[in-house]
Amino acid sequence: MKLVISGKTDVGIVRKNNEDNLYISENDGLLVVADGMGGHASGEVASKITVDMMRDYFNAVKEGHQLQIGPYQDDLSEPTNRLGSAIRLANQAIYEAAKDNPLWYGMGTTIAAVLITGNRLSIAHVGDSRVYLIRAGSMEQLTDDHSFVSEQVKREIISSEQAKASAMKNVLTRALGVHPEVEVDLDEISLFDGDMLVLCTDGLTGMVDDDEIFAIANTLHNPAMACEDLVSRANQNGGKDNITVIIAEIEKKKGWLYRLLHFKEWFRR
Amino acid sequence: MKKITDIFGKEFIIGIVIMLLAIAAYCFKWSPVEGLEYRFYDFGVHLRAKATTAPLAIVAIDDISIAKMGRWPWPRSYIAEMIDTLKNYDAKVIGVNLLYSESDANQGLWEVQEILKQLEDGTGGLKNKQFGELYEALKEAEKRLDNDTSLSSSMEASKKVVLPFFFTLSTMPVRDEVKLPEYLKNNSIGVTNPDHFLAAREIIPPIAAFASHTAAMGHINVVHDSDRAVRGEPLFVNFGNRLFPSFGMQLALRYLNYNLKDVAISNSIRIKNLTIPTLGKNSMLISFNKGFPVYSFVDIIDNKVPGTQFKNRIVIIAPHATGIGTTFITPAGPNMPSWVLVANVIDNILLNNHIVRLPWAFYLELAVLIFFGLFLALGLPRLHAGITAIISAALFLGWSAVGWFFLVQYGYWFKVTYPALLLVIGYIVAVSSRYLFTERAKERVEADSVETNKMLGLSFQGQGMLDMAFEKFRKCPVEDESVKDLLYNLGLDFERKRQFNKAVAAYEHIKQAGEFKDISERINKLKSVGQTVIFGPSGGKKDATVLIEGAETKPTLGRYEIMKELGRGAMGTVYLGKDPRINREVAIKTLRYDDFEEDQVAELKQRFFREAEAAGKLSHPNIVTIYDVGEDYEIAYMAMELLDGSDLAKYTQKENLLPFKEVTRIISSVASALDYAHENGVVHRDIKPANIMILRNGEIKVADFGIARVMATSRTQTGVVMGTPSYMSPEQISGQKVDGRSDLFSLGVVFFELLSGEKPFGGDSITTLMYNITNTPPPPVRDIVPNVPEFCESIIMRMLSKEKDLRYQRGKELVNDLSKYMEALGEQG
Repeated sequence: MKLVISGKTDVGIVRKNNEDNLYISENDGLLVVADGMGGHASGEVASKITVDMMRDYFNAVKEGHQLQIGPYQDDLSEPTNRLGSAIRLANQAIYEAAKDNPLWYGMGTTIAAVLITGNRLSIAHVGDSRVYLIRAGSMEQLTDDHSFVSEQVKREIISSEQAKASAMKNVLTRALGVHPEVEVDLDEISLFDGDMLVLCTDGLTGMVDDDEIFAIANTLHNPAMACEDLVSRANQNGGKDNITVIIAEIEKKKGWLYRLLHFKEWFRR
Repeated sequence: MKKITDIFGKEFIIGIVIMLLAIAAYCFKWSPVEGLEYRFYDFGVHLRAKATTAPLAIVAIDDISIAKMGRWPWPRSYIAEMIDTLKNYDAKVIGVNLLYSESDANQGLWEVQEILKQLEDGTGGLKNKQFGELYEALKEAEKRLDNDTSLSSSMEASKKVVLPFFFTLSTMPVRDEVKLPEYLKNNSIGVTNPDHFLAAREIIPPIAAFASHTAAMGHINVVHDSDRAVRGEPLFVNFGNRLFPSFGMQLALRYLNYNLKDVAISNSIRIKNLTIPTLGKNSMLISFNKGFPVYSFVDIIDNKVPGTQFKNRIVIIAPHATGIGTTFITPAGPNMPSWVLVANVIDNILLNNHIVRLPWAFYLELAVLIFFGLFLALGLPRLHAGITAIISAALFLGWSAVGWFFLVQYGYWFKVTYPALLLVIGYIVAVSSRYLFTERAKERVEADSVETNKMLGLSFQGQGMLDMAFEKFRKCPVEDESVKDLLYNLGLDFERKRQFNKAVAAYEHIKQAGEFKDISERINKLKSVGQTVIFGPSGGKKDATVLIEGAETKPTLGRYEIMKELGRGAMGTVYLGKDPRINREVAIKTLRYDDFEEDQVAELKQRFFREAEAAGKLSHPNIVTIYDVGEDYEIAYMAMELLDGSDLAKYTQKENLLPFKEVTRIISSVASALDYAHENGVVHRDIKPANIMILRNGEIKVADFGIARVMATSRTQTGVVMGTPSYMSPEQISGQKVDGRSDLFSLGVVFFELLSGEKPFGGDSITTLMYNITNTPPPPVRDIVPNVPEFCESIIMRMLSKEKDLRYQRGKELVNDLSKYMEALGEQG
């Protein structure tokens, strides 16, 4: 599958520093966004450790080190378990770094990561960073925020409208680096031609409605431009938090005429 | 280095272990594999079988002969007749494959002999002509009836007859010289090393009448393999320290006009220029051939077979009918009459056509076993699965084919099965173990593995946390070349940061595993540098807090001197402070602004001071007293009573539960504190064991009034990861307005937990917990701790009502209830 990937991170309008981070590896099919938190700019450290660790982990996998951190889930594929392991390792790194450095006490980060292996998509996340899938003219959120209000909405205690206004809306129930072990939400689905993936931190989702994200990503069909557009849209709406977004589009296959003319490619598979 | 550690992987060990097992099975001739090997051997022998060209003829006592000449056993005179006939046909050697260990028992003969005896004893009767004729007739009859004598004389006449005898084989042989008749002794030779031969404890020879007239004699013992089949011939048997050749051997010798003196026995057996290769116990492997000329006994008697067929041949007279004589399982077939063995032995000896275990066969097989084992151990893990499958199959087929070819073509027997089986089983085990082991590896949590430590170390190094990186790298085996590299780079980083002593430590750690790059030079250089420069603050911590360490005057917040850090709370650091004016030690809680949005700071500060002031107004023996709030160095702080005690968190563990009376006292104290606070318009919002202090003197203090609100509502950035909201009231969960009754709900949870050591609402996830708080009634506390008085249960039930209106409306009501019940309890007890 051919991927077109673009990502952008922006400090926003209000904040002084950008605690978000992102990592894109086209070769591995790995996309990561992370939203750090903590005092003394330690959020930046946490999110940086996370994306670096994701990169290092998958480099190590390529060198043949099959590191399994935490339980291996038999109902999930190997790549998905790899993704989970990487995130657990990042958690360990942040936790230990924070434990030994008073300045970084309490730092942590969210993460949303996907790994594309052939036509399989592995999804992992912790915290309130999200992964959206745009397919066949509609957008679906593939992740469940680990936040207090999200739990409230799930239990139908409050409506999603109320959730947006809730005072607790930034209270997370899970994050990387807070505990020695972390439970990572893992899932996997199949990808099809023309699918589009959007990974973003709450700096985008807090400022731009899902409908608008969908409209921008789906009409532009150009990940680079869509990222630019989404970030500037978030900033127009206030830009209260750091904004990070990655968009990946799986290129549509060519039509039958093209395939007929390039029939040789068929044999190459 | 890395390569070497790889070599000793699990697959290597599996491969080696399987190889050793195969070699052990090979050396001890493990019967299942040996059985397979026999199958292979038998089939090879079968393919090898050719039509014989040996000068042999078989006279078969077959079913037709028995049908025509009368039932078996025949009178021995029949055999005598045959010997006479064959002698006339010029047979070279006549082997009679029949055991004559007893004299013929002939009732008629005895009767005739008795009569003759009487006649001879009678007086002069013989002179009577009539008597004389009768006597002659009887004499004739005696002669005809005396089969033994006729056979004996036939043998004597022919001088070509070879007879068999039989040994009772034993592992406890007769070692001493046995007194043997001369005719037996003539058929044996002396022995040099008796252990190399099968041994017997008893001999069953033909009767002397026959034995003394034979040309030669040989034993007809056979040796069965573990599957009961006969594949070899023990050419000599040791009896009474003399070696007796086999029947077939004797026939061959006779044919060649040799005798036993011409036989030399060493590792093989040599008869002049013929060499017979032998296996253990001097037995010869029989290469079974086919096409031996077999003639029916009766046909020869009836002159239907031309005499030329026997001329100059070895003729074996042997039973070949159903039910007569022993049959054997052989590679040539399951029901072979004994002459087949004898004939093939002769054939093999005369035509020099043997199946051989070459002297180096053992080493070849061992070498192949080791080669295959090494392929499994070293080749399999490294090569691609498809390639290994092809190579394995090729090795298997190739080796088998070589084995077949040599056996069929040259009669060289290699034990093909062991290496072939090693390859097949090893391949299967290695491939399946690859699957199994990777599965197991997946399950294993490699939290502390070398790779994890390397990656974590690199990550820390990347963040500039060199000490932690060093700690991680130290957990990796320093012998590993890549670890050395990592440590070396870390050392360079330490140098760059001018932390020379740490750089030296890193280099010296590498040096444990030997020299590496230029570490020795570096260590020397750094050590000399260190002596002059190291006193600077270069290695010190760069703490960005305003509280500068090592300053001469004590840092202050407002008017408070900061003594030391006590801990870290929800909002910020807690310090031990001192009010210099009244020399009172205080606890100072700080609030760091830099966690918050700038536009929020003003509002946050405002709320902080409002809450703190409200809480500061509270003056109650069970509420932590707040002395002062202020702001300094962009840090808002709150000076409060310094408490000497601990919070209740540890008393919620099952093993640390407080006595029931103490729990009611605590709950009552907290309830009265809450009543007072609510009266003054302050809601705590975060009642939990960690916020309730029990002092050394037993006093109960509730801390952090209103702080929860400041913290919860003031963060717009991703901020707090909350613990499980176990103590939240249903209205807090659903985000409704919160009042004092919510605190009483939380206190109910605390009460429940202090009594039972369990929380009333549980759940695997926050979602289920939240559902349970809002929807599920709590379990009766007496289900968990039955010895608690009943009133506690009803009080807790009331405190934990989902409906605010059904709970205690004020803390005071709870205090009253508790004291009322406790009094009643006191009166009872």
